[in-house]
Amino acid sequence: MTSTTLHAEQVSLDLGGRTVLHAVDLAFAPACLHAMVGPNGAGKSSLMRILAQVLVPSSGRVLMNGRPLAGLSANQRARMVAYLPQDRQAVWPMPVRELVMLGRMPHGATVERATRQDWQAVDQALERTKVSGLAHRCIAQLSGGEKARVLLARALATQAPVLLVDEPIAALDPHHQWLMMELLQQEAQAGCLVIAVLHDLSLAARFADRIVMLDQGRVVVQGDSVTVLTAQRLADVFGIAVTLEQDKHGLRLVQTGLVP
Amino acid sequence: MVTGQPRADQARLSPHRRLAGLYAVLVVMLCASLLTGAVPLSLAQSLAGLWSGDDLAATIMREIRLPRTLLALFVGGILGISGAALQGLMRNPLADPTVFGAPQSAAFGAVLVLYSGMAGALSVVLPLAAIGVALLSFGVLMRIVGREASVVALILAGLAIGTLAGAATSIVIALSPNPFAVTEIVFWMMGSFEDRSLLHVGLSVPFILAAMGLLLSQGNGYRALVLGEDSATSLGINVSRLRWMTLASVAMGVGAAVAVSGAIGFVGLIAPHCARLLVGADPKRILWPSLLSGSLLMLMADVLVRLVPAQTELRVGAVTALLGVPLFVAAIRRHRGLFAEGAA
Repeated sequence: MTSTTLHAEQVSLDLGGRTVLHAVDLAFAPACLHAMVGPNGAGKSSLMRILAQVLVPSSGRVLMNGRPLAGLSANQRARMVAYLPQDRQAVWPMPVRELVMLGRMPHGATVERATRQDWQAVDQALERTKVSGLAHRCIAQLSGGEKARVLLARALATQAPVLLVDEPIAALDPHHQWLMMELLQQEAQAGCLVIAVLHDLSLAARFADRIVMLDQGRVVVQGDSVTVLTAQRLADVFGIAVTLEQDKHGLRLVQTGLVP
Repeated sequence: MVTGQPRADQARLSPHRRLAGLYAVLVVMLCASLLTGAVPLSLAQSLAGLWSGDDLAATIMREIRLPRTLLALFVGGILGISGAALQGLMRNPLADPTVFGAPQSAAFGAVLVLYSGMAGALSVVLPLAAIGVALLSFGVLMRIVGREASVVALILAGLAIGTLAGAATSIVIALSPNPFAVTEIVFWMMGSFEDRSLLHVGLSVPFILAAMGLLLSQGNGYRALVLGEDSATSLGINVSRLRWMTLASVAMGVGAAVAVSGAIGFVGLIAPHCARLLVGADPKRILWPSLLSGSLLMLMADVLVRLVPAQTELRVGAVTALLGVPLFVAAIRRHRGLFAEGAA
């Protein structure tokens, strides 16, 4: 599990005549929390969907441990890659524990037919995201922060070696944002390859082992936070003026304005 | 923590007990349907007539009431489970074959075959034509609204297709040389179980059973769709296959049902809501109870039309619409948020 790598090999995507991704070539190191940053429309979500094999690229492929992910059956792939999309919805008011059991579906488990091991994985996931107390509540009654953690638990319950989360902390308050980042960091430290799309550059700098920056469908740079987040690059890509300081907590980012 | 099946709803009765209650009421309604009719027969006469003899009672039971009861049972069941499957697929509590124009289209298909003289009323071509046109209507619907359909777009497109099919049906009938065409219009547009034979049962039930089986087998897909299409895909569900299977099965079941009973509306909308009251919102778990609820609703409506003293018998489709429309409106009011957001 600790050695799983993911590699987007020359991935391009055309959607309705518009090129969303231009020959993106990215390797993701094992057991790391990777933050994917970039302005709106940079192609982050599309790349995540391709990595999750929810979307088929126009050209190029995704390799896991050097083998094409597309060669796996849907179930095999689902056991290897857990994916939490950007729009987090649960249309029907279902009990939390049963919803999280959906994460065991790639292992052939359903609420009706689940082994002790499956229920253990579900309860473990609920514990890790600190929502064990909500197990028997209905998803529709939960707050945004609780719901976000329950849905992360659903992804964790799969116990896949790769976890892809698209904007996991959007719409969360600062407390829950921090909590969520800590959870993702713990998953990475436990050996999972975690890729998270983030808009909060400060949290990305604070928590991520590696940062990959996309702009207009191309990779701008990939590396650690000090390498990737420079004032010049943030001005070029995001159009923001920032001051950067290295202190005992890591890289500190203060936005001072917009680049004219 | 205990393992097992937790419930979100803190109800006094377990879902199993409530389901058992549903079975009990269904059996009572089956008996009521067999015992209700224009000719008063005693319980003993009815039961005896069902199994043996060739007197009047036997004829009434086996050639009038039994086919009628069986058809109501199966047609109600397929409409109920179709509604539940479509609601699961569309992730939308307002989905129903009628809302998408499928029964109206199937009725048009059946009428077209009858009046073009291609086949008689007791030919297998009739259900096949109804199924074909229902399938076509789904195809057109999906072409109009596209994959990422909003609720509003789906309902508007369904309305357009249903209205068009209804209009086309009345035109075909009006152009036919048959002077009794007007009654036929009412039959196809309103639906009825009057004067059906066991031949009608044999013509439709195989298709209906196949469709029921296919829909029941898709439960995991509907459950995974709770989290949206991308999540379901990432969990190993082939969403486009699920969509295709569901629409084809609904077209097959509803098409066959409409071919023998006419277009009966809103059972597919009400039944899943009844099922949710019994077993919760899980889109897989409501499939079977929706089937049972649909059967029950249809039997109740069909017994009701026989009990109401009227010059000509009430149409069962009118009764289900009468029950269904207020519920439809209530559902729209309750889920107003869906319309505000726009996306399904």
